[in-house]
Amino acid sequence: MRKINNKEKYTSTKPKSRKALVISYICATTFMLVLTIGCLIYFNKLTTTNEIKLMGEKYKTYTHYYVMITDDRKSSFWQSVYEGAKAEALKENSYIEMLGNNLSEEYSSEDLMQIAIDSGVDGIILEANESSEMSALINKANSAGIPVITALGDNKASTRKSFVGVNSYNLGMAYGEQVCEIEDLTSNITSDSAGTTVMVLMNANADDTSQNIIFTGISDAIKNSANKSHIINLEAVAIGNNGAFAAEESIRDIFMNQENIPDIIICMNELNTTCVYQAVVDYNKVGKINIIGYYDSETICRAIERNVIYASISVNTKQLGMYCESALDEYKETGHVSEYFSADISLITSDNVSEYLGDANESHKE
Amino acid sequence: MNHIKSKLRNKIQGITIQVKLITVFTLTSLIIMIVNIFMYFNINIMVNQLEQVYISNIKLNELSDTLGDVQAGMTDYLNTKTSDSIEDYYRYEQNYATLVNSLNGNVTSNPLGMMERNIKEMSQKYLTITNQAIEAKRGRNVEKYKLRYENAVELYDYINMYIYSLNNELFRNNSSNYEALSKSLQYLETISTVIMFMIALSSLVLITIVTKTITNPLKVLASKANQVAKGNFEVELVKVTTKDEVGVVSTAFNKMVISIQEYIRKLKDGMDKEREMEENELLIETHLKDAQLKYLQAQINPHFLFNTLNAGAQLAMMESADKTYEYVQHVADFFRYNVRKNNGTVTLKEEIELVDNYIYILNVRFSGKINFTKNIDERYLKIHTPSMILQPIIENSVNYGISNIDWPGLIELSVYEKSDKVCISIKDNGIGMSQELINEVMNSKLKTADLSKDSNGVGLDNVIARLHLFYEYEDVFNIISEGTNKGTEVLIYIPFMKGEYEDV
Repeated sequence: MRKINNKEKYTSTKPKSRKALVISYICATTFMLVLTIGCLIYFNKLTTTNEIKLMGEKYKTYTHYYVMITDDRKSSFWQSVYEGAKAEALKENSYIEMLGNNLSEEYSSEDLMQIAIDSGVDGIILEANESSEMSALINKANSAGIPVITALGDNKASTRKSFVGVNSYNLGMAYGEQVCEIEDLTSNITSDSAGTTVMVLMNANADDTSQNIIFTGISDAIKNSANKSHIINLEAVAIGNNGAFAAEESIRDIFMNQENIPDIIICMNELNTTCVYQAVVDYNKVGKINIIGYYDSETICRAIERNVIYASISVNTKQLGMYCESALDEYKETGHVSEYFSADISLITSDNVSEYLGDANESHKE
Repeated sequence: MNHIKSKLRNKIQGITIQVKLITVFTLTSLIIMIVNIFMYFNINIMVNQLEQVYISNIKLNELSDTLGDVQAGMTDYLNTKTSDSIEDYYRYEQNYATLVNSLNGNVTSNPLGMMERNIKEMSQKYLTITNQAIEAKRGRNVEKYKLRYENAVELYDYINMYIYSLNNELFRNNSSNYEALSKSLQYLETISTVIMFMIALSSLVLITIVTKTITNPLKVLASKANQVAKGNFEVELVKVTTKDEVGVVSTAFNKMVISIQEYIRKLKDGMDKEREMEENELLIETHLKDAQLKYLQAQINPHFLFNTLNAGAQLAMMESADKTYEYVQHVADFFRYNVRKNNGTVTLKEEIELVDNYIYILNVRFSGKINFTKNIDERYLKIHTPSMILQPIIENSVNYGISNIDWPGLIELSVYEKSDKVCISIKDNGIGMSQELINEVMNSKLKTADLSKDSNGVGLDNVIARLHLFYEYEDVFNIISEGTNKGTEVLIYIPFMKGEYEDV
């Protein structure tokens, strides 16, 4: 009897403490594992975000490589053209590069042309001029099997495949109409009979016929205007753009010469418009000099909003770029392409500037 | 399910301390090791990436240097037309061609990749032109090699500028990459520190728990063992929760405690039984004695005997038979004494009177053969003694000492003081006793069955035992005999307080 009792006592264990021990053991182990794994996952997350920064998105490979060469590739005008061309190029599985963007040295268009030819690109979009040097380069590219499309500025003497630009005469007409409008407004207020001086800023280096056509357009528009009583003196001023800061200096020179200050200044590119606008502000000529500008950059739009610039004529840059790209692709595919593409122009005044500003804001956000 | 559970529990309980410790250490070290390996792996990857960051720059520099060498080689040859320079040129040209071929010529959306492609294209063109220039120089076509040289210089400038630009762009990219990498390394450092710290902490907890499961049973075991050592054998048994080394020791301890308890119980049982048996034996003896007594008493009613003897004495007196009367009167006195004084204490005087009666009866029986002399110090007659002490001794002397001798038997009873004790001496001149016999008598080894028929039932051993009990004194009784036929002397020493019993 007693022995059985003993045995019962002997085998009675404490399962509670045993259970607690096992549980704590498992807890400690799982805690260690979870901690380790958690930290590693967290770390991996951190490093993968870094890695994306490091490696960049995986680059896509394209079949064609085109380059765009312009005088002033940093201007928002040409940036916009480039965007348009790029969007079109991506559709066609081509890659387009604004040549010179990543280079540490500034090259002229001619040098860049040479580089493009030597690099054996598949096509060139070029803001050309009518110089013979440019013609030779275009011909050289052509003979190397590289099609050249000229944009905005043409080189008719060369073997360029196509020209994409605005209808210069229409452009000139648009400028002329604005001049007449200003004249109508001012003649009502002031009755001074000395006449109105209109200064047209032209590119000194381009013996480009398009400028002449624009000039003709302007004068035609003024002649054709209903009010013949206006005495309007059209004056063409050449602005050099070859050397650095040449344009800005030339424009300042106009203002320095106090006697000969015009009433209206017509600018035919973005850079000139911006420079003139700044000069008008600096020389306190706001209201005295009316500016008819070019392009719809944010600075210009803001100036229109503040009535410093009367109006600006904008080319549909995206369309321009798109036409250039599609012309290249068409030539690549078929071996021939239409000689001329015309991009749309539009007029920006204080009435509709808000639309462009909205656009600009949006594009800035992007 | 339950079966598996119990099986698992058994397995867990069966884990030894060694295995437990090894498991804990292995587990923690394993985790630490894995974490370390992972960290080193990551660090390695990062260092590789860091190297990659700058390897492109290094490659470009090499390219630029080789291009310079090619250009220098060509210029040198065009200048001097030495065989050394042409050798140099071809060697560098070969190197440069190899380097250029390793460049990526695919059209991708990566602007830097495009620069690389342009460098490749231009370099190939450049090499063609330089080769043409060298050929022209060999053919002494001055016009041509001058033109080619100019072309080459122009291209050389472009390429150099391209390489320089690409290098710049890459470096700018790489700097930001480096920043990202060093940030990652910092994260890695922090995280690994945290992990190590936490793991060290939790392994410490784990080890504490495990060692507690080892030491706690040991402490319990030690306290129980201490209790046992202090003599508490009825301790509660140690609870055995594991089957490890401590569990084995605990089990052994429990077995030991159980065995000790069992042993003690058996010992107690044995002792109880023995005592019981002794008690039984004693009871049996007492009962036997009682029976003997009852038997004797049943045979003779003493009062009937006195009355009978008294009647005999009166009859003798009436018939004027004086001697008969006297004899019967003594016999009656003798028996009356026996009946009356059997259990209480009596004075020495009464004892001596009984002896006188006895001797008278014997002398009548044996016709005056027994010479009995008394030499008594009257002062000690009032000393109390147990009854029936002297008569059995006298009877013994008569029956064994002087019954079978050729010379006249003599018995002397003396009472005197000897060294603060009253000494009663019964001396005869009979056959004497051997020392063995004396020892046997003194140690009460003579059986009751040896009592002679003439005895009144009280043996020497009884006398000795009663004297011992009464006086609680070892040397109260002594027998002296000098050998065969030299008589025997029985001595009784009675202690007394001086003046207590003296008549003075």
